[in-house]
Amino acid sequence: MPLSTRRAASFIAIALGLYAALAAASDWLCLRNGKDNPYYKIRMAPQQDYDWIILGSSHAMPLAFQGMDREIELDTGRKIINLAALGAGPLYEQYVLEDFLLEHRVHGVIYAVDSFAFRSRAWNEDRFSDSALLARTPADLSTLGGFFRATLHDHVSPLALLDQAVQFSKINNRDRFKLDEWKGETQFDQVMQPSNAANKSRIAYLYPESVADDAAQSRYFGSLRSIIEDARRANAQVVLVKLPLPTSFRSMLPDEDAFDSRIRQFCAEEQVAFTDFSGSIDGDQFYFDTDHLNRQGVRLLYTNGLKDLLTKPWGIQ
Amino acid sequence: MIVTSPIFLVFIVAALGMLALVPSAWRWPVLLAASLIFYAPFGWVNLGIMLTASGVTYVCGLGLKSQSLLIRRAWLVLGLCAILVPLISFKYYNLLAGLAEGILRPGQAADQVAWLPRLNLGSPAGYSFYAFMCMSYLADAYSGRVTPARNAGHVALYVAYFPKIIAGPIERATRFLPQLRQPEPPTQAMVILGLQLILLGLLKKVLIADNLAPLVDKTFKIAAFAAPIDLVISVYFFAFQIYCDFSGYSDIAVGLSLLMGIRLMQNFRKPYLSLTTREFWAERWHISLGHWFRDYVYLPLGGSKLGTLRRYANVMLVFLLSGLWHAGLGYGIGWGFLAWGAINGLYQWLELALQQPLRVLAGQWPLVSGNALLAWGRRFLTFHLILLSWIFFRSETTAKALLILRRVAFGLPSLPEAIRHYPFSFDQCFGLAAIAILLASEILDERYALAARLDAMPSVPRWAVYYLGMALLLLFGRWQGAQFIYMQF
Repeated sequence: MPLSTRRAASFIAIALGLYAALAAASDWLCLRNGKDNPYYKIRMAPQQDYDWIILGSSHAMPLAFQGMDREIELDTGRKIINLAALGAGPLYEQYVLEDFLLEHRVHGVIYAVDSFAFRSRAWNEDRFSDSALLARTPADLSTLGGFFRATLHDHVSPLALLDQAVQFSKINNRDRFKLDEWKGETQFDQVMQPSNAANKSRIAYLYPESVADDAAQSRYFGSLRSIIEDARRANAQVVLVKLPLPTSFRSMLPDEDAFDSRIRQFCAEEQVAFTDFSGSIDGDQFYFDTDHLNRQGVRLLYTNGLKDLLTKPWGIQ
Repeated sequence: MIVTSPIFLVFIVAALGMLALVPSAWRWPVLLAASLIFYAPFGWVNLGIMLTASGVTYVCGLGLKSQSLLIRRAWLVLGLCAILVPLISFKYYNLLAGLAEGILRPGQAADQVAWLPRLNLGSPAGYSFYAFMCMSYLADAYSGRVTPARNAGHVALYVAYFPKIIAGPIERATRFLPQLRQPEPPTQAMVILGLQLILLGLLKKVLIADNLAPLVDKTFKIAAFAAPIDLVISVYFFAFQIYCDFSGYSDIAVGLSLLMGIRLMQNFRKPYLSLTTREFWAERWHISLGHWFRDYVYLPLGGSKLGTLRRYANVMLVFLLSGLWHAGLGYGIGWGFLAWGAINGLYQWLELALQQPLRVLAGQWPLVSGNALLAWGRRFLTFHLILLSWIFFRSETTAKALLILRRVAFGLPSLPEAIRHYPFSFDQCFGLAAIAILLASEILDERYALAARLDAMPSVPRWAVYYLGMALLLLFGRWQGAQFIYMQF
């Protein structure tokens, strides 16, 4: 081998070694500062068996904010793991559940549905490529396998798989020393200031496509069906819920009635229980921002129906 | 395709692999195919426009071989019009339509319905760059500086060559075409230099420019409400953002080309160390554009040979045209660019006017004129003159630029106090540190040829520097940043 080739090979080998060291250090930091990421929660789950797993987007996250999950667990006597994630639609949560079921058992799955999560790639396929989520997803062969299947079967960008494989977003994470905590959790005890402009801008963000794409919606209902099938294969029952939203916000959601009738029809077809809490709590004092329950709101939801749902004897939906 | 994207990495590895496999004579078709693949994601319409421009250039180039001066002139005018008219239409149609409406119906209120249609054509990616290359090819063919290519593929590659099509350098056919006619595989020295330049370019772009961009954008967006100190910081940051963004791209382009055995011209030479604004524009900043305007506008207009007044007029015209060329850079197509050009033209006037008196003074006090401190004072002044003009460049409107200037001037007396109590964020400290390191390394390189010394070092410290650069890119680079500023031309 000529000298120049040997030197180039040595240079590349050292560079790869240093890269691997950076990746390992970044993964260590990811585990040390992890909190909200669902894959992190799965890795760190203190036990193998759970009574309930909660899936959904950010609307379901307050159920685990600032020790609410422990509070609910103590009161109901049920073991609960909340794997809802920021902006996560059914496709992303389908793979989260798959990953969870590889090494855990659960009696029931609560899926918190949101119409926005069934409309756009942004909340489904593109969530896999979000560097903020990738930066907090621990390196793991089973997770990588899930990303591979998502790429193969669900049109997720191969770059997400590549990123998870080489850990690039984790190495490049600017918040590597910060706790993986959504800022919403720090506002959990606050009360929202009602604002029409804030509602409008939030809805524009959640519904980037102005018109619902029927094909996309069918695709994401397919993901929800996969969640139900996976749960049933694992002998777990499934309950779909719609979490509370302020009336002022809910009334501005596009095509909400059409989504409601579609989800009811879906539940009837799949023989899945559906509880609609969306109109059950009104009043600004129960929300810390435009559309997320605060501590008072979560407590009210708990006493007004969630407790019954969680403590119902198994098999009765 | 953006050169900092993962897709580009795959693309360039494939392109380099193909080039390594094919014989020398086949290098240009591979490069042309790669260039078309690179450009295709910008859209088929853009690709069509680019190929049409190269076709026009090729055909008019053949026409310029004629022995008749009249026919050659006709081909030149035809070619230049065919390239320039779309350039003007793409960029300024809406602006000109508004202007025409204002002139033809001066009483019309601003909120009345426009009667000239607005087309919102939008400039095809890189058009300003390759249009200038096409025009220089035609002008050089006309004057006999370049022999028009018989091979249409060579002309197409000259226009479409992917490292430079998006943001330059505005390469000359006199330099580029001979490299296609006598292709040579890259030497080891070229490969090493190429990789060094790519690393340097990425550090400038991803580590500095893209980390400064959000800080600058945030303040400029709320200029009317921002504190004067925030405006001052953002103006300084913008000066380095645009420098690192643009020169970073140029470094990457030159580096990539070296890997493929093609030498492109150097486009930046530590511009913020210029002693005068003339040196800044003529020898250090966007050198290929400066030379283009010199060779195809300033000198044909008579340059400095037709008397003082004409010289001053020619200089101003060049800078006004340069302002127009820069319009549409993602900061709108406002009069700010023209103001920016005019301000820099005025700087040139001032320097021309002071040239003779300063020369006399330097003759009388040679020790003072050679004083290093004075030289640093001149650099400081030059940098701040340029900085002032960047405010017009970055602001969407001249009104906004003037507002920023007013607010900064108003806040200047209290600035030292404000700096003492200013809560610098991590990102701002990072930006300041990066700028300080960049400037320090450029000063050392200017004075002690730092890059050459690094090359002469043993492998261990040299490689350590490279690994450090790569680690910084991985750890702190903003890879999700926006596209290059000059891509929007």
